Amino acid sequence: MKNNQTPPKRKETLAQVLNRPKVAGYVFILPFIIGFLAFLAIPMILSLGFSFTRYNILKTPVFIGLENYRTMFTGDPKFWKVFGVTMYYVLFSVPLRLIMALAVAMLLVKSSKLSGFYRAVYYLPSIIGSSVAVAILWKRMFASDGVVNALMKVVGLPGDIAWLGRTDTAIWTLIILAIWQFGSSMLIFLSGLKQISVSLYEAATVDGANGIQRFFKITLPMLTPTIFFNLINQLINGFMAFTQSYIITQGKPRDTTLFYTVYMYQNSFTYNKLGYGCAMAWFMVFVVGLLTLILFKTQKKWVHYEAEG
Amino acid sequence: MMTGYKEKRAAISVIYHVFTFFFACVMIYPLVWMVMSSFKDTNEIFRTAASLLPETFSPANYLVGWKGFAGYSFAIFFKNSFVIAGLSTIGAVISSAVIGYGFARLDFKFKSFWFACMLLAMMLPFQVIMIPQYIIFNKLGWVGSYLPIIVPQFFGQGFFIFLNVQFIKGIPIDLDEAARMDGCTVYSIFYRIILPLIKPSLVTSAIFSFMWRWDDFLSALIYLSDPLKYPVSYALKMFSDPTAGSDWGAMFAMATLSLVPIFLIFLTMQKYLVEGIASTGIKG
Amino acid sequence: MKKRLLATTLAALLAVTSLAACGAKTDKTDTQTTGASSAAETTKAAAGTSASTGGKVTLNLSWWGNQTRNDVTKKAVDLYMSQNPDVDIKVEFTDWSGYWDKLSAMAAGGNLPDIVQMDYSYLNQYQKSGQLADLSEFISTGTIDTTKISESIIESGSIDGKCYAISLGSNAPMMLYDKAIVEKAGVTIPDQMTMDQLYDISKTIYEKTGTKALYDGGINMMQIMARANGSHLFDELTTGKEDSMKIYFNTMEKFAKADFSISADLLAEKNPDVVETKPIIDSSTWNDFLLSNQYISVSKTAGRDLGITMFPTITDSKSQPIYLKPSMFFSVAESSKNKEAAAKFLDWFVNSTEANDILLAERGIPVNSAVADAIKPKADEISQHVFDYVAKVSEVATPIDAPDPSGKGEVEALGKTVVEAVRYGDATADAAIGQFVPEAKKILEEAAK
Repeated sequence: MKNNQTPPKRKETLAQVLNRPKVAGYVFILPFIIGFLAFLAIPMILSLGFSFTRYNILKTPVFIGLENYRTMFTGDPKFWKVFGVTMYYVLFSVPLRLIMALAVAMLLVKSSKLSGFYRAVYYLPSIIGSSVAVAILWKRMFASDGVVNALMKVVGLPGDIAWLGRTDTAIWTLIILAIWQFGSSMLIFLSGLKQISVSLYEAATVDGANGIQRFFKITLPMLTPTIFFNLINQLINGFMAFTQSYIITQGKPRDTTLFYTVYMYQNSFTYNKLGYGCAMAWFMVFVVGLLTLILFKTQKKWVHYEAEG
Repeated sequence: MMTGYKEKRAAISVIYHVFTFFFACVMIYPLVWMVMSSFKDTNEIFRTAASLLPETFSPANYLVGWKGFAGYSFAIFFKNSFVIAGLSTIGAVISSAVIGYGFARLDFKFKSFWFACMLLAMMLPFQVIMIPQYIIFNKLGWVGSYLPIIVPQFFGQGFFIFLNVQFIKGIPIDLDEAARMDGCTVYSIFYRIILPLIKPSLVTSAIFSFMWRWDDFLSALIYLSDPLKYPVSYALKMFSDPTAGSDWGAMFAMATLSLVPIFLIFLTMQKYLVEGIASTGIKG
Repeated sequence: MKKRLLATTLAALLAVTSLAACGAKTDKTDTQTTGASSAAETTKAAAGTSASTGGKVTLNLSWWGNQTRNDVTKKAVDLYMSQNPDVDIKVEFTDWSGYWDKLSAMAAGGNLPDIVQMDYSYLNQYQKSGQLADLSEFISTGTIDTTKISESIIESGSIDGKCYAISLGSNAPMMLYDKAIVEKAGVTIPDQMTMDQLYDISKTIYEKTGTKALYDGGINMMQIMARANGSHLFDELTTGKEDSMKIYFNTMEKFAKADFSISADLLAEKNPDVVETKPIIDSSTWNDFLLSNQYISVSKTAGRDLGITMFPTITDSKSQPIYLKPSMFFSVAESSKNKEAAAKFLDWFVNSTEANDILLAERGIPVNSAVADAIKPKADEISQHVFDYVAKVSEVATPIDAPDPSGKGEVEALGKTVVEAVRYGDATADAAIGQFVPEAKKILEEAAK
């Protein structure tokens, strides 16, 4: 580099030290380490500690050993119920959302006069997040006299289903909400697609590959780091999903839409059992962590990183 | 049979647009409903929820809503949101890019440990660390100010770090090596080679960061006391009170308004997504 | 041994970071009291938010509420500050659910605001953990004038004979009905009906008009039934008695099975917990149950005149179940440095006609009878209905149940779960009783620890 002016000899050694990957690595991640130790590590350790106590926030915690975990696994049928509900939600919403996001991203990666407009429109549902406004909105869409039923009538299906009231359909209103808000994953896919070099496509076209072959031979493999990222991230998000259940359905009916995090929150704050809430949180971290670890281990098999060759 | 290439292309293009447009309408319907509701009389919203158009278009909700609460108008709340979301985004995007490079390209001791810590922090629900965090910030004397909300953003956000890591790993390592041959340090490689190439991921981070900070009310709820400092997301909650009664009209109106800035940010930013690496012509 | 080591380490960790401190002296029996309270002292000193500076007293005042409440309360506070230039009141308002999260964080950090709005269901918990100041001495010295406030209202904010909270207004549970539908069906609604009457009337209305009925399945109804049965809900549940719950769940089942009742799935969709989506609003049902302060929103949203009658009772009731409920309180934090100034403000807030001219019964009918009479003519027509109803109830009301014990929230949630099971036909009344009573007892035992 041209403007790399030759520094005095004494400093050069420091520069060399700093240029060693082992040192430079720490220089780069130093902000993270500081932030982690200052704002996260202690609260995390404490919340783990609380999980072994009876703690109602207002009173001093009392150590009770593994009691919370024992109650959780053997004495609280609702715990397994909400765990099941959450697993079901994750199992369907995550893959469906990702497929949707990828499909639309493929559709929109083409540059046309309207592509900016389309991108905006498809992204819009995601910007409204999950506020109280969405809660009202979503309940209206799926109400007995709502637009979903009206549309079903138009195409000749029974249009009088109380989607939010039936124990077998209520969770699907939330899954559909998750799919509807695919915008953030779509955006990441879009930027991933943009990172794929055009020369690859040019070469493939010269070799006579058609659109479908190009998708499977180039797009998909080159996109695997992005897919991997979205998968991990949506998995974590899926388990952490809170507002949908908390604001829209409040777990109704019959707790079929009661998410794990909502029950954890209710325990921590509504029932004043923060100790139990912490135990629930750490069990979730364990489960999500395990799934993430498994995904990371499978990475070598299917995720293609340019940097590795 | 003998359709010309040109005609076939035109047909595909028409189908593409018809499909994309129709699907876009389905996607956007709920939003249109919300915007329409914001022009309905507040007591009309629930009674006439099934009909899309208001009986009469009235800006009353916007006027009532904008007044805010107890003399604190939404002008104040919007300004606060811009400060919080703006500063947080700057902090999060820059720090996460730096940290992401460290994790993606450099080898150092306990790298996996720190990376695992980062993922762990992403997985732990905020609700259970909320109380201990409050006490720490209270000890620091930060409670009541924006510091507990903004400062942590300057130390990297797991989601963005991870996103950058994935993007940087997608960049051919030959580029780094070529630069090293030219005498570049890891720092200048980061600044001159990597940073320009991960623009799509930086833009994505910025869009998300701004949106998330804009929507976040939980940290505002916990850490802010003075209504002069409340952001929009938090103020929106105050229209509804299930124990007494809510002004849904005003809430819809202000919720609609609060979407405008994040939407504009998206519109201006998404242009930079389009001109990604492809146009800079890197050989794969 | 290992367990003990773990316990000690944990205790040490907690003490070091002073997390154990919760801003107030807790149970003396606790092993960590010394560490906790000394840490609490430091926290308080560090917080120092309510310290008086330069002769001027600063008070923090915190409440939950909507736009109307925020507006009028701030206006009243401004008036108070203009009359008392030596007092500076910093207001802080939030929404209902966020309020309690925030308050617990503040309590844990030891910097509760000087004056906090308190709800009946949280009163016991905050008092038991020593967060609230005893206001009795301010009442006896006359700083807070209670001469125009009825004894039962002061008692509703008292625990073990000491007053910890001043009620800001009175509410009463009520049943609403759609006048037009009732008229069309040709039935008359008595001032207070029995459950059997409600059953028969609902049947007639459904046959004549096709409109369904709502049967309330909340904890309010449980309490009403227990009261009509001559006892109190939590007294029964803590001892595991089934008497009142038998009446409750059997009635519940009877209504759930009737074809005139709103179906379980439609009810779940409507969500009667939110004022504006109550089923009576779009005439899904002809009746509904609520607290009197919600009447104004419901009738405004419904856009028509709705009739009011008392919450129903049971046939052969042993006592009148209806009661006046404090809509909300103001309490003073134990950690406050300006309790006297806070008490003075409370006195003004409750007893001054000026203040209530601004507040206009937004927090329920004023507890000071002279003030209530003075502002009644200023209220609009819909609010007049509420004034009249509360006045009528106060003639027959019996004292309210003692403040809810810790664990109430969880018992309420359990109740909802069990009631839903009955509504959806997944459980019989007997099964519901068999599940609810022992589990509620267990929850209350756990919570009392």
